[in-house]
Amino acid sequence: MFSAGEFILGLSNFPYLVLFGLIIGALGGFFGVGGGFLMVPLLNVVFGIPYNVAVGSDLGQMCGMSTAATVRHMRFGNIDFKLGFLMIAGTATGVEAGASLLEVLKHSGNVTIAGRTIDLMTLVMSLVYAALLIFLGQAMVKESLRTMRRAAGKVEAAAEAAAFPAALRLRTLKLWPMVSLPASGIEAMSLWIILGIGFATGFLSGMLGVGGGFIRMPALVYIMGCPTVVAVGTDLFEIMFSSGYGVLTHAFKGNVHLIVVLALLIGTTVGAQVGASYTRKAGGPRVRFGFGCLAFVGVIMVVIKLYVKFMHQ
Amino acid sequence: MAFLDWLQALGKDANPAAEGFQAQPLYILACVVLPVTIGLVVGFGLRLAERLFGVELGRGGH
Repeated sequence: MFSAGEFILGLSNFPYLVLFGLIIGALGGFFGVGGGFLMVPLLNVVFGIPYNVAVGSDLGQMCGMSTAATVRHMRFGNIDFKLGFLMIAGTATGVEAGASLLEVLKHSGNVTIAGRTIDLMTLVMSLVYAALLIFLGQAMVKESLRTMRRAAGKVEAAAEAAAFPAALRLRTLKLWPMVSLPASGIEAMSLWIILGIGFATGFLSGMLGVGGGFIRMPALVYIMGCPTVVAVGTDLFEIMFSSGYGVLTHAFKGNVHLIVVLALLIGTTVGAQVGASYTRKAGGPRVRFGFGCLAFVGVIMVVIKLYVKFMHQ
Repeated sequence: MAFLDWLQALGKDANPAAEGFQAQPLYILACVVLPVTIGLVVGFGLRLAERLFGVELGRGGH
């Protein structure tokens, strides 16, 4: 098994990593997502970077990107700082739990299946990523198809809102202590719901190196009732802290490769701008439908890599 | 290239497989300071570019 110290990645790979970051950044910018859930499995599949190093380095890249995005969002006043700071307690706990679980996997050695040996971290992380990509891919495809049908007048917006009864029940939960969030227009909300959302997304960040926006955004909008523009700004603010804390805790474990972080940051910074400028030309649910399909391509690549590794052990 | 070599050397200190491994303070500091600094420079740089050229660029991150 590799760790950051054992894993050798020469400087000759630097331009390829920049190019890789540029492509993922452009895809993320074009499709309107962070792209972290594609970054880590593809770093493993394309460059052979062990999952623990890919997660730690991706969090470094994400920390830089979200800092830049938060600085820009601050200008528009779209951040609910009180909500962001309250959520940080749950997020930090979640990041630590996720990173610790990855650390346990890193040191758990090999497992033997059908007479073949494979390291447990690669097996578990590949399967978790495949499941995550399938979940996100089908969610994006469904959402884009629903939006296209709604645009065609086949689905009512009211019928869609009624599809989240559990979210509405959570919103009205009266579990002490209650907090008010004036910037989001929320009179009273249980602190435990805020901490719970923070913990869940922090856990995903710490273990998988993803921003968790795909969970935090719907949770902020549907469970808490935040306006979408505030949810976007607060989500970025939260990603900045979760990835910052994540890169710190992974650095203590030696999981951050600084060359990878720098190369990815250069690539994604430029790529995100290029991708975002093309979105305005293409735009709409068809773009998200395309990205949903792209997630399934990611699943195929992860499964093939796992199969090849398994057969060659 | 000297900066890249320095980063590479810092990374070599981080060997969790070594007995009694403890991450070096400079390595930990670089892991946090490097992305935050680049993020701040890019964020404020883009804001400045938008103000100077009167355009709105993609906000990134989502």
